[in-house]
Amino acid sequence: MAIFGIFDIGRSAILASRTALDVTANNIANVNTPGFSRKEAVFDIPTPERTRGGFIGRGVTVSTVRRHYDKLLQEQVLVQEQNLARANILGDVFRQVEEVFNEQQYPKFSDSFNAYINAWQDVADNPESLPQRSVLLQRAKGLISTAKEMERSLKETVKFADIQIEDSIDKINTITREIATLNGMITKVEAGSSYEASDLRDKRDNLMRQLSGLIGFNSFEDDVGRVTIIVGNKTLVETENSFDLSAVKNFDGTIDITAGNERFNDYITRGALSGLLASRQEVQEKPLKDLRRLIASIVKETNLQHRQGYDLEGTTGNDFFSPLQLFTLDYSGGASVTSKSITDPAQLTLDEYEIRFSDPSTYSVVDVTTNTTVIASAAYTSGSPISFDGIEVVVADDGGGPQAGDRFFISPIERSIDNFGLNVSAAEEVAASASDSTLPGDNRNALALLDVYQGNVTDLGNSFNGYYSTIIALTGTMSSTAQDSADFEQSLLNELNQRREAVSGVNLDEEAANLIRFQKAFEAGAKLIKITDEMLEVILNL
Amino acid sequence: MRISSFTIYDRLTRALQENLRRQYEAHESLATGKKINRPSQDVAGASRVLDYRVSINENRQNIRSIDDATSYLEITEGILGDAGETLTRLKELSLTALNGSTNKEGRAAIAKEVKELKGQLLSLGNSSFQGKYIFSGLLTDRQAFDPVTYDYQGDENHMEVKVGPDTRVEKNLTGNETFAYVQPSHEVVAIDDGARYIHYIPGQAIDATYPSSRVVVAIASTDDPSAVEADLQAGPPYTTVEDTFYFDNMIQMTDELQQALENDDTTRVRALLVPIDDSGAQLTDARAELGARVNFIETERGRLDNAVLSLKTLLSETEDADLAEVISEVSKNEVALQSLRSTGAKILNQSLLDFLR
Repeated sequence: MAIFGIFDIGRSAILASRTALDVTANNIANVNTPGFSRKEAVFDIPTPERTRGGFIGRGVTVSTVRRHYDKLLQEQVLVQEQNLARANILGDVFRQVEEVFNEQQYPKFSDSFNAYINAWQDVADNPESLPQRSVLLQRAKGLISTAKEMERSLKETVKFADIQIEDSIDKINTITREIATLNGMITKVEAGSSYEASDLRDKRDNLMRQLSGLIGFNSFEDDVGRVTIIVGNKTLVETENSFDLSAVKNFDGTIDITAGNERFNDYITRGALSGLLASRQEVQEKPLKDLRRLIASIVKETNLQHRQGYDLEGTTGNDFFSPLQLFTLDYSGGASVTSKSITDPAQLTLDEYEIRFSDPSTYSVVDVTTNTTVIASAAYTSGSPISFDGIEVVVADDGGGPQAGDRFFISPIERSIDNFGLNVSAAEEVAASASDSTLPGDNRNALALLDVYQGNVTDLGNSFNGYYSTIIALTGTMSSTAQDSADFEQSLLNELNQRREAVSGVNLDEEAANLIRFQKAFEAGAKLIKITDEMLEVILNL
Repeated sequence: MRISSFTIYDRLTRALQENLRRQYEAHESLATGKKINRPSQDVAGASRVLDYRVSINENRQNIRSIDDATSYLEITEGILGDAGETLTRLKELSLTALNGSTNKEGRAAIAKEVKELKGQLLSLGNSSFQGKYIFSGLLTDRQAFDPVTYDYQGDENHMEVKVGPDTRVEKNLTGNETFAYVQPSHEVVAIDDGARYIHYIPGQAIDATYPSSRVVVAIASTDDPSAVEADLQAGPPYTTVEDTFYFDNMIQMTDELQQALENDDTTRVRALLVPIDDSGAQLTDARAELGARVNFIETERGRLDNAVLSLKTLLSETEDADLAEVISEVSKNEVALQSLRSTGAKILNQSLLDFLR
């Protein structure tokens, strides 16, 4: 071997050390970069040279820059981040809902309702005096505005969820597009080389982590390094293409998610998006519906009793609150509800119904609250009234007539808070008396109303205050359960992250040690060249 | 396990977060004085708190109603007391008028005082409280007694007051229950050593359409009730009845007394002595009834006061924070937080790089 061979060995040592220093420097620089995986320059021995004395090494090369990365762990982190995102959203939304019913800090419905009942008792104590009656009307107005305020807050929660859903869809689309682009770049860089496009992969991993915050998905990598991302039965990213999700406004004003014109909501099981969808549904189906039912029941029972009484002028049969009104929704292309009315408030159950068509001429009526059949089967005639439980609805052809599978939703409670208002306009019209001859001192109807307010109500299976208390318990439980599960998911994720960090995280101490190690190796390599130079000098001076 | 720089930092921030969160909750408890600040902190407790509040509110409202009713009943009782004194004076005056030493002029003078007393009874009967006439039944917007005819113009209904979950108390007495009495049966009293008889007849025995409190007084030559009743039913001219008059209440009775004195009709004055006594007895009964009611609702009020007190204790036990406990929690957290901060600062500050020169 020629003496210049030592030059080569020295040069290889300097080059390898420099590469290693580069990698270390990059690790240090990225110590706080989320998703960054620690890299390591892997030193390798080049093919040794045969000499008379045997094989002698020819220095060192950096064969590859290894990325410290555990694929399985990475996937677990992704799934866990999806779970956490869902739990966090549910926790946040239910916390907001709980605040709407938080009587602990800001007395709300309970205060207004009890002030209203007290006002009735004051009227009962002084049925002939107008001031007490005026106070009663004020208290009733207070109750109305409290109920409206609470409904507004709940509806805002739903609306807020909708805005966030739309926002998330935009973000998801941006991310899937970027992943598709990165797929292409990674394939190009890695094609035909043994090098990993590690920083590009880190970048893609990072995008996938962001995506898991939004939506639950499954992913796998093909043999040229491209990931495929699947949600439910839909592919969001495949090879170098991405497929957008879109937001569509529903018949009831809420936002639905579609992929290629297909409703997509039910495929989303993890991630913030699933949390938003689930919380929206929970809020609409539980506390909002319960509150509306409570108000509907107050309106119904108050009016039924108030109608029996007589006001100061001897008039009877008046409602105290504006009467309940039916709300209907048509799920039909060929027929619609043309008129609807509550014929007998006393028979009203405050349940919600559906008229369902099994074929174009046969319908049934189902109580969807209790899931019982009200009318098993009846022949449909366009325009003829359908009556049940104090409700009368007219369905008439509106085009081709109803088809099998068409349904009409009927609810006496949906708009109860919307329409919650006073029917009596003057203090004299409060029907405190139970006698048709004008007896100003007669308070028997007021006393009867107090019994209604403080006793059990059949429709609710509870007193008004008792029912409200169950709503509070419900929202409290919803909130605490969601909070607990968010805490649990968070600790699971922390655990996984720690394990991931153990593999992929940068430790500055370690890197500092490496810096010195490679610096010393660099210095030694330089020294090698210097010594070789001196050796050459000696020979040249011979 | 390999520890990365991020792990150390992450651990520390999470520990800080956890401590700060506990500290925040403790501070919230201190600020509000409550341990339940939202239902999720104690679902069952929050429910109970609401139930307690509803019960406290109901009890307080019932106490309000009781106080209202109590003052009403006490005012009524005072009026009946005044009416009782008036009747006593009427009795004295009647006896003075019948006294042999009192002559026609004397009786005319007494008639004047009786007139005053009649006015007094009328105004007592037409007393009002908080703008409503006390003795008119439920027709509280009109005077109980007509100021000219002295006829009762209220009704017989009672106003009930809610004083407990299932307890109601009547708060008014009607004019007929206080200022009138029902003659239970036909009574005969002999006067002038048995030469004449005074008949006190329930009005409805003569004519079913008469008010139930009408007392018909007849001075007759016979003591046979049925003969007198038949005579009165047939109308004048009478065969046995010498003189007859009637009254529906004690104001009309006083009016009759005044007229008898003015007319110097001692027989009528004599005949009115029994009704004056009966009226007095009626008032005494009515006062006893009122006293019983006041007693009852005062007991009820005491019960409600106790209930409110014990409910408040329960409420406080359920929702109020134990301040001593919270404060010790705060200082415990403080210590943990401080040590965490100082060790954290040390750990974060140091790295191998610091030792490389």
